[in-house]
Amino acid sequence: MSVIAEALGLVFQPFVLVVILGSAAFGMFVGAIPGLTATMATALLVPITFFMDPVPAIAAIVTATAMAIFAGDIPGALLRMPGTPASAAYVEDAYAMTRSGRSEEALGAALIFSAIGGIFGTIVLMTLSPILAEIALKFSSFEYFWLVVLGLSCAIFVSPGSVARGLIALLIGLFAATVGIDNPAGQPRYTFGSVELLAGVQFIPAMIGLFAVSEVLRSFVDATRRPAIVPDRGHGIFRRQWANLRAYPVQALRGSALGTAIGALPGAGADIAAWISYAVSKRFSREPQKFGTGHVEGLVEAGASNNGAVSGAWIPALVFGIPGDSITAIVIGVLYIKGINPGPTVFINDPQLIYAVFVVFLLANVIMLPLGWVAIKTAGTILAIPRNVLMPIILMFCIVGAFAINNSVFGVGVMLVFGVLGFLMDENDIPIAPAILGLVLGPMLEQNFITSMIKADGSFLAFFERPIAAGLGLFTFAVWCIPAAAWAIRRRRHA
Amino acid sequence: MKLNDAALGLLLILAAAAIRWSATGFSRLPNQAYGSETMPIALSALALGLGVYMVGQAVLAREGLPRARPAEWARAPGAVARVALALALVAGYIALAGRLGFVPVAVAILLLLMLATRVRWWVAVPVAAVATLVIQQAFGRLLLVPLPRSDALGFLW
Repeated sequence: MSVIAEALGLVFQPFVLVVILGSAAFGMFVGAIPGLTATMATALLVPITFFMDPVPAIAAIVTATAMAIFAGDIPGALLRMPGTPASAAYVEDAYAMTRSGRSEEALGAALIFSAIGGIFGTIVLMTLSPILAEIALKFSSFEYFWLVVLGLSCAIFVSPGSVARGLIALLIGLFAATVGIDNPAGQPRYTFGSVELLAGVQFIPAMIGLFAVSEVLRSFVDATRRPAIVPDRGHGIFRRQWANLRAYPVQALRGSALGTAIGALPGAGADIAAWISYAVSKRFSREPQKFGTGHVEGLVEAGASNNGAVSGAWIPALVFGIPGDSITAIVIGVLYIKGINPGPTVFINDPQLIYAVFVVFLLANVIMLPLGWVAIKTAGTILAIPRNVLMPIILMFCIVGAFAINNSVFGVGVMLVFGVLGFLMDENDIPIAPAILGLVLGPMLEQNFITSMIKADGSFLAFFERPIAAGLGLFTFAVWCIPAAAWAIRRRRHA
Repeated sequence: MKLNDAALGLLLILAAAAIRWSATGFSRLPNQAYGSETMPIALSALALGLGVYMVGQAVLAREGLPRARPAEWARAPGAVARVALALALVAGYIALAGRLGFVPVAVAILLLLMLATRVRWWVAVPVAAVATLVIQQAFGRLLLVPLPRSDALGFLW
């Protein structure tokens, strides 16, 4: 008990609270701009944390990350431009709600269920860290391969339109992921002599191009002055959320649990967690036909999932010193700079620090509610701006966001190419989101597949020899087969 | 430009052939059956299967020959020109921002795009200037993004 009291004393200091508030506002700002990620918010905070004690340093990073993941939903819902890849899974539903004048309900759901997911993940982090970390470390290349295949399959089956067009989008993403030198033999592929392409296609400029630039180009097709979307009809940010919570308690809990579990796996972050949760939500929904048309159910589950994953990623980081994602990789570096070695010994040597991190997580997810309310209300004014004034400004934000990834105009070029591609894909009813997931998960798929094949000496049966791998593999096959079987049964009944 | 299923399928078959051909130039890991070629070969197989399926579906549905038709929006006056202008201006940023600096190029892009979409010039000019300054201050000063500077406007940083 004295350790918890000591941790509370460390957090509830005026300086720490000011740091939490400042980094929360900073995280909101960064996450709400397409192209600027939660990882970038964390990286930008590192030089500032040099001048802080460990608790405010960690508090700044934890708070900014949680806020940035939620704030990524704001441009996604208002402009169909997800601020972070973790928001891409449910962007179609959120944007469709905005188009029908329910932007505040959509963003309110994203806010409330992000906070629920984050708090759930923190409770798991506090209570089950060692057990979950043990399971996560049992994941080998076989399990990761199936997890990636499952994520990619989910992206196809939840996309609007036909499975064939979803597969085309996935192929585009996976092919773009093959560019560069980051492959098993370390040989340049499709670089055409370009030094920049050796590092591969950067997925943030590609995402900005596919979602944001294509949307801007579409707006130039019809240069009218009317606002881009219907202004909210006064649904209120929090008004409908109690009803949503009562209607979808299982979805909120399932999304939080799945997000936390996936986040705990090193290398699998909020992006894949949101996709799998969205697909699970659609699969078990009573109204799957409404998904993608402005239905809040998928948003509830995937929104809880991506913030749950943020907390989950800290489990292997704190218990074993193994980063769960790029953000915790930076955090581990910061902890080392502060003279703290993450791993089992930190629970013995600095327990008050670990509990302080838990308290900060809870605090960050609670203050997300008022700050998120302010952010949503402020961002909502965007809807009143005439489209022909707003879209050029958004294009400028896109250019700067793509530039900021590597501080190079090469990123702007990538954005431009993918913007045209996204525009053409939209023209032909090819969904954009599977292409993004293919680009993000392509390298992970290739690496784990080839590692597994080498380990198994070319035997595909090895992919089912380990219990977790077999379970994931069978589940993936079920995801593939159940829709086909259901279609065949429906057809037989109609015949 | 809208392609029918047969055209999309044909495009996929061509892409599969091109990827398969390009994969012949990639090597395997020493003493292994896998390497840089594995993923492109797998993708070409997937693209080929999908292409054949789409062409087959188009044949069964009697969709006719592969064809592309212009989109409805392209008939609207000035639509193609506005889209082309937006693309050209982004390309112009890539070519000129390093030499002229972020601020003048950004003002020009915003101004031209707003004028092309029928915003009045007395609205477009101040909006372009203020938006550029806000973006420059937010990214260039607050987030420390090294946006290209111009000598004359160096004081903004």
